[in-house]
Amino acid sequence: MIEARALSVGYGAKVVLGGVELEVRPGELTLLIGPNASGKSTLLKTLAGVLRPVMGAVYVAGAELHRLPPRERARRVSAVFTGRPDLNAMTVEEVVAMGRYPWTNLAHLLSEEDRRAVEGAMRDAGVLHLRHRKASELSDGQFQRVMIARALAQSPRCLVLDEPTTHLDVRSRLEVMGLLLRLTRSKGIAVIASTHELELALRFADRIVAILDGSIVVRDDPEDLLKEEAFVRGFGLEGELSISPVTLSVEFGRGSSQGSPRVFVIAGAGTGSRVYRALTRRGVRVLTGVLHRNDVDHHVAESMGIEVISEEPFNPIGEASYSAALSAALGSDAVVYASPPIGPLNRKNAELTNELVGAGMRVLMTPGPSSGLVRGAEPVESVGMLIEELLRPGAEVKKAEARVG
Amino acid sequence: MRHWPLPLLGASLFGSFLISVSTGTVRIPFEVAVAHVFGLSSADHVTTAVLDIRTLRVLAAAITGACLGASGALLQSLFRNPLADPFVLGISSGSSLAIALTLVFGLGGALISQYDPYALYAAGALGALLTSLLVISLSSVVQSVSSVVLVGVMVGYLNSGLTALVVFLSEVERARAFSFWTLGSFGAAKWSILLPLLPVSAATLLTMFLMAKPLNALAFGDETAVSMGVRLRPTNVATVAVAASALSASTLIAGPIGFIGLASAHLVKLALDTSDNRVVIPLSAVVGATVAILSDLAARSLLPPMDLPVTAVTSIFGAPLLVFLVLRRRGWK
Repeated sequence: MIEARALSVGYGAKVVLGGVELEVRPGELTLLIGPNASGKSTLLKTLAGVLRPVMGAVYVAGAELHRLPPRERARRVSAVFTGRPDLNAMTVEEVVAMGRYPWTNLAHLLSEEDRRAVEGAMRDAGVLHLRHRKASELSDGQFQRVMIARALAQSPRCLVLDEPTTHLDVRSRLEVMGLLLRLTRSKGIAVIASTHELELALRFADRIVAILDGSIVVRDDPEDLLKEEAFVRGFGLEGELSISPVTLSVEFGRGSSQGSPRVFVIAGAGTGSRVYRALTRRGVRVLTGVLHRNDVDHHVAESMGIEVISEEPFNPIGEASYSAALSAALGSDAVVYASPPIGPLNRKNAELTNELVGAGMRVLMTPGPSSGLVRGAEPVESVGMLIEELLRPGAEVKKAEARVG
Repeated sequence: MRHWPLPLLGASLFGSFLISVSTGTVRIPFEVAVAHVFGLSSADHVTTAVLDIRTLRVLAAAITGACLGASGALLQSLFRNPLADPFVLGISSGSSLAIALTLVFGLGGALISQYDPYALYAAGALGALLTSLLVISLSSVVQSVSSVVLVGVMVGYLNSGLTALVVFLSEVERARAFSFWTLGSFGAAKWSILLPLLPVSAATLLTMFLMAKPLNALAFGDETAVSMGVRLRPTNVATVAVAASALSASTLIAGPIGFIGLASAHLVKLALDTSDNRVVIPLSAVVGATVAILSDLAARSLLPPMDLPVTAVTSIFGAPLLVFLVLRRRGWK
């Protein structure tokens, strides 16, 4: 719907971002990510028709956007930019009605059709119940939805939003993203929005547009983006931070495998992830196993740079991986049994735990589906208590005594 | 938006007009004055003559006040600044400078009695327009709203300085005439000035009303306004031009008059609880006219037969009133 061809955007003759080839398709949510000052806003303003291209052109439904009269342009593309304007005495309904600007006469008198459009826009954006409230009294999240309603009242085919989730609380961010996604589906409009939030973008976008090293990369599948070296560098996903292509979660703690104490975690089916995160955050060196390569804990551990003792998917845990896990666990300062669900394929993990208890290792156990299968472990009620127990001064001594015994 | 004050605002304009026409050192019964205003006069010649003079004066005040009030609303909306008014932005002083130059150096000959209203109007308008464009172009560089006001105030000082210089260098008689003019008064109004300005003011006020829609959109910020279909530059230029034109007309009729331009829009917004320019601009004209008529009435009734400077009256009575209204609103919140 919006097409950018050989587009260079910038201010005056100064190019901020060049060589943009981009298509924002109807019924899809396209999210634009990129470091600060990479030209996201400049690109969006150009796509919205507010800024003239330095070179190249933007087409909307076949027509060259910047050659259209302002009124015609505004009927095709509407925009929500950053900042909260001071609309002092205006009510929500008046604000949304301003969206009819390109459709009304000189006195901005609303026709029956205009009124229907305004009401529909308020309903779609979920602000109908706020219609008589003053714009100045709204929360930031409500205000953002009102601005989206205003843009919708313009009856556009494309909607351009600059950082619609910035300054919003977590719940409002998710609501706004959900709203945008719903609008693309129910109205068939093309939506492009920029965001700072990588995880949100990777989850919500139908297409991702990333600005990397001053050029644009468009991917339909976020996973493809994660393989690009420029992406990893551009978003600082090196060193301690990492992102898993499977869970799309940004993880902290990679490279902390030098930490002390060493803790071996027996987990599976997602029971381990929160233990890994809690321990690595505190600088504990974590090892884990035995995990099948298709286990969610395996993905998380791997993306965090945790040493994993693996087994092939859908195979029972074999001798080799079992003994590797046993020696790794015995070389640790403590063992955590995260009580994963136990079945034929990973039954050996329960056996491993019992063997470690038998060998005098200190085994802490968080509650879970298989807590009952392990004898002699110290139960802890929560991950918080687990941390407390492991890092308590004197914990080391207790372990040493146990070993001697 | 509150609707009940609407008829009240209209009625107070009309009422103040009638009261002002019937009040003065020559006692004329109210009903005679009202009859005269409605063209049903059966009064004697003297009374008719007095009423004609008063009608002219009140009409001058009304036009001046309407122009000031509406342009204040326009400028506050354009600059997105509640402090923007013709004085704060230096526009009035630009008009004064141009008129001083014309009066003192330009036209020669007998001063007030023979001056050409069109030439002075053109000079005043040009001065206001040039100052506005200077302020607009400087403020488009500095962006921030407080900088706009700072630029306007500085341009105002510049104009005042130049005006002082012009007056200082001129002959004493002309300087006196100009100084008197700067105090602001509706007493010097003449039909010869007023009549040509009537269509100009009417056209200006109408154009101002047509600016309401784009100005409403500008409240969302320049970029959002453009995305809604506003033509930014023509809107900015037209707004400044039309405000400058109205200010020139008012300055020409009565000299520079402060406060009305700043206060009228605030009074309307407080009374009606709206910022919709389609309402605020025309009603600021109504309120501006009312305030000007009442100020003039006060100026000539407080210490008769003295005619006090109108600016003194508007400021001394108006400023505390506005502060009171603003404080009361804050108190309610």
